[in-house]
Amino acid sequence: MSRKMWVVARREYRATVRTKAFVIAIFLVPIFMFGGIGVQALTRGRIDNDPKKIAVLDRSDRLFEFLAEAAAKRNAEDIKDDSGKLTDSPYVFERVPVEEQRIDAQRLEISDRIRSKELFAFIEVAPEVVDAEAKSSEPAIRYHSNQPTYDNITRWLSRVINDKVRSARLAAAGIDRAVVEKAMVPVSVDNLGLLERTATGEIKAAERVNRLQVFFVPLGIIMLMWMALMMTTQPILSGVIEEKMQKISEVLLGSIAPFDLMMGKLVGYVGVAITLVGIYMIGGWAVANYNDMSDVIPMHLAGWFIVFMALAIFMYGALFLAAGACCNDLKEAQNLVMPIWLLLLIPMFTLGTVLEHPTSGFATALSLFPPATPMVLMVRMSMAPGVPAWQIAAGILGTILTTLLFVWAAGRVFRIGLLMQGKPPKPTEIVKWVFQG
Amino acid sequence: MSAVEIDSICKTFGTLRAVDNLSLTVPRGTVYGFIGPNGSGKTTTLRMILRIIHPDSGRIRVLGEDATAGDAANDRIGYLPEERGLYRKMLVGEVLEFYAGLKGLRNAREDIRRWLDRLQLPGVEKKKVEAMSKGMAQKIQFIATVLHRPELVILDEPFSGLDPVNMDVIKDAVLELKKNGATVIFSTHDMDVAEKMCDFVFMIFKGQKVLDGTLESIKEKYGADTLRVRLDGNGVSFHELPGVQRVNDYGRFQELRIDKQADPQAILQQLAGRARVKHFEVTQPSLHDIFVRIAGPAAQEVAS
Repeated sequence: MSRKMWVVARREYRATVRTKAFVIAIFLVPIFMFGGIGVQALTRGRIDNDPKKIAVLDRSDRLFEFLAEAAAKRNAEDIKDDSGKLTDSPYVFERVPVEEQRIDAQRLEISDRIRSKELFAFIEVAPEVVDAEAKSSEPAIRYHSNQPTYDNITRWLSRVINDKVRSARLAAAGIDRAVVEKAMVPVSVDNLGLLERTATGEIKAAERVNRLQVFFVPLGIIMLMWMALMMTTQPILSGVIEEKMQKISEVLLGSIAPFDLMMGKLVGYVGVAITLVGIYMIGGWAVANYNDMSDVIPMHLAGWFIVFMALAIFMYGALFLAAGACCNDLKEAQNLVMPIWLLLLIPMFTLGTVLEHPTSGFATALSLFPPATPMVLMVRMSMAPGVPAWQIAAGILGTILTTLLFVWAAGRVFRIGLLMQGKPPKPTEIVKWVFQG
Repeated sequence: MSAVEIDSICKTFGTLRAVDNLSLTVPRGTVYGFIGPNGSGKTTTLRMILRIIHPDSGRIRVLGEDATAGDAANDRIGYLPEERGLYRKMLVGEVLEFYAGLKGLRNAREDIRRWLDRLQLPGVEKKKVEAMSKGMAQKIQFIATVLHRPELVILDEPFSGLDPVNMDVIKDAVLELKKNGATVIFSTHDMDVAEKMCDFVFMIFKGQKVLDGTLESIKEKYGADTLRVRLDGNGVSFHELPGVQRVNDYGRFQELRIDKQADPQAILQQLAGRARVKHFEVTQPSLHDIFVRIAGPAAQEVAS
């Protein structure tokens, strides 16, 4: 490798890593990914703890007392933290005497009271709610409110009322509830790995499958790979367009061969990605370690990850460089890189299928399709039962060959595109450049 | 040995013949001016000398090396592109070190400081390129071009957009490069600059060489066919004078091109009869005038 290539790599690395955008992105991406969960956790019980007044039209005439009692119990016991501060809204029930002759009018009156904010919601209990034999198509309980997205009350009601109704029905049938509960205790199905023989010849018990590891590790790996690609291909594209527009590429091409220039850039961006992934790996490991879960992070895959990531950046980076070299501004380039994005998205679209059937023919074939190999094969490697060695070898070989092909073709387009002015070339023209040089 | 030897090169882009059977020899240690209208093939020729693009046919030798094939960029050449070629977000010092590094020069910091001081830009190393004015950026670009002490310096429009003070600074620097033995090729639209600075002038028009030689030899070819006249008052119709082909009115004075057979004395007498003559000079045409004669609208009409 020429020394000049390293000069270019060093500049690209420093120019990218030192931008504010890079530093901000490092902090921002985790916020995007986990911020939603965090905000929910932080605001739970702090946003809306106002008492909710709920009218009850009890046409069965058997539930109101019970509801009022259950609510009082809940208000007293379940919605306060240790210091006695409210963590959820108290529920207050108000009985509305049922007048069956004008039930529709009654419903409307209550609705109007809800509209005027006097009440929060109302529930209507069907006449034969406890009757086990009743097969009315009407729902037993209707909950009406002006805020359909607030489902805390319906969930609470459903739990409390079902419990009550079940007891009532059992009692009516003369069955002891305790007996039923004992009969209904579920049998657990445990998800385990396979047994293996240890070095000393003993049979090692199978380990219990860690849900966290099984789903979050492959997901984390693909997200990390995806992020590394996102955060390098964008600067690659805008960088080469800046160089073209500012006539920097002319100076560069007067000093360094186009292929070396391209390689220098790609090496620089692999460095950027390693920095980024390194920060997240160390950060993720530190968090896991702090929570005593460091064995969840598959550190033994870090080496493979870096290899596949580097190949992916060379493969896709070369395409983005070629595309950028053909365009005069980012807008033009966005159109040209659309197909590349589609290629990049294949692993994302198929992730669910691969996670569920990691050894299927589909997953195997996809992980040996070079543009998808870095992500899909990596994901499969992180899951049981792992990937046979020949597939890793084939995957690496295929990716290297494809990368070489892409870099070679992109180099030819890069050289011609950089010096071209005017409107961007048609895809057919680009193909022509590849073959004519 | 010559710095650049170009032997009948051609370059075609699609259907456009950008450079057509061009031959040129640039002796070492000279300042060679490239002139020609926009789109006539100047930049293409410069890029071929730089080996950024290759001719379709013909041969180029630069500083003794074959520059026709391959893209091993030459560290003995310095190139200043037509427009600014600097990373806007980088610090001035970093950009210059980067370009020096690309030419294989290490530890350029001391040289950078010296050059910045010389070009009256002291202490800008730590400033961002985007904070530089147009003139400052051009001077920084110039430093990037010459930091590695190239034997051949190629400057594409080095003076465009510079005020007279900055122009003099760059001009002096260019002449010093020449004094130190470097060969300088520069393209320009400023005929005045070309006349004053260039040992040789080369003009390309529609991809073909139309002028090549020392300024004297070029002017010699056209002879003393120009009168420079200043009169007191206006209203004289120069076209009616005998033997006047073309009038170039600069406002305060006029340049008249006359037939080879025409007698300047007769024209002076005629003029003296019509107005007070304050200045009358028989001279060779300016390079500007020659340029216009070759590439101006009148010439274009004849050509097409």
